[in-house]
Amino acid sequence: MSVETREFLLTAHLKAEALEAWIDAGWLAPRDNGEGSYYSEVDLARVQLIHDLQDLGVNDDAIPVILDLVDQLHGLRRVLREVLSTVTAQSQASRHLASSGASATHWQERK
Amino acid sequence: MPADPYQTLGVKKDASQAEIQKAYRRLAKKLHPDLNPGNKQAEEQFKEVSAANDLLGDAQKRARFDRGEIDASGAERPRQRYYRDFADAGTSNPYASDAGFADFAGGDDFFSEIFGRQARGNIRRRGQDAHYRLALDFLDAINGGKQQLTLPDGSVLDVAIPPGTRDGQVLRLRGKGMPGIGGGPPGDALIEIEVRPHRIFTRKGDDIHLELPISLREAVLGGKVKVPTPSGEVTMSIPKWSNTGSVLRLKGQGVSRPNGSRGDEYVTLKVMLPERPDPELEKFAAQWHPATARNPREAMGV
Repeated sequence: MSVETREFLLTAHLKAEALEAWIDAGWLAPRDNGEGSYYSEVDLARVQLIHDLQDLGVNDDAIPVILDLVDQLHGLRRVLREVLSTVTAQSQASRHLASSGASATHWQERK
Repeated sequence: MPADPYQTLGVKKDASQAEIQKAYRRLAKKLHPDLNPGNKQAEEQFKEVSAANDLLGDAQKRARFDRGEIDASGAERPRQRYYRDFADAGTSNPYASDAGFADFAGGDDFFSEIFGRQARGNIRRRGQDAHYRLALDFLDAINGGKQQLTLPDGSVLDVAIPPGTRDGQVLRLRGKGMPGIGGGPPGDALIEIEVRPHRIFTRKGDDIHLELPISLREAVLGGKVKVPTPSGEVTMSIPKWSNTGSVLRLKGQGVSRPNGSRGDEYVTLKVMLPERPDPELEKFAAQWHPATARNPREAMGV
């Protein structure tokens, strides 16, 4: 789902000046579809996270630090997921190899 | 039945608003789902803490709750979305960061392959296959051996020709094609073989066919003759009275098969008169009146 700036401000409970400041600070990074900025659910969720952090007393200097670490954490989670699925696939493949190797030996014995 | 909000926040009944806010912030920072992406329980606990704070963090609501006018139920605030649900969705996340593992992607090993794939967004690709043609002499294809193929860029490719290679066969040289993209493996070289015809041999499957001229004397009396094969000459016995068109088989003198066996060579005899007129033969033929003479064209009805 992508939304335009005006709709995004309403949905995200955000003032236009705040949006501009957040984009300048790199907290938000709307994509450009050629006709202007557009936002998706991930931006709404990110605004909500920033609001939550502010409610928790996190000051504005600390917010980009937290956002950056959270983004790195998600990157690592994605890679970890891929590593685990690769390892799983490889261990299945080597099990398969081991069983076909056994039948090859059997065949040679018969020969 | 919701838990006692004072207990949830871990504060006393007579705690000040400042103490409640402090307790809430301490718990919420620990339990916020986006700060605990892998912890499913955190979301439930965070909900409880938020609900408790909604009730007690507001002095008026808290007073009504203390007087028993409202209870803790229904105070839960609906939460539509957490950042982690979108940030964890993979490549569609525009805020995705590889800064947490970019330093692993330098080496050339299993891990860098996975991390590199992430960092470069799946542009790692195997190189394309390169297609070439190679014309072989008849015997080189049958006997196999090394051949050199000069590529358009001037480099030379050594091609091992397996014995028995056929016309139209495609040989695959692994990794000799175009280089891979983004560290991907190179493609293969695919070499289509063209086999030139031979002056005397023809090939049918794994067998070799040959027309062998023999003299009139050899045809009548039989005897041993030398016969060319793809791997050299061999001696063959011709039976007495071998006519033109008789086919003799030389077992195992054909083309090598991958399993080690070989095809055969089929020798078709062709009786030849002496090249120059031979008066002695003419004299003999004139006097020759065989008792069993038959018309050799009988079958044609003439």
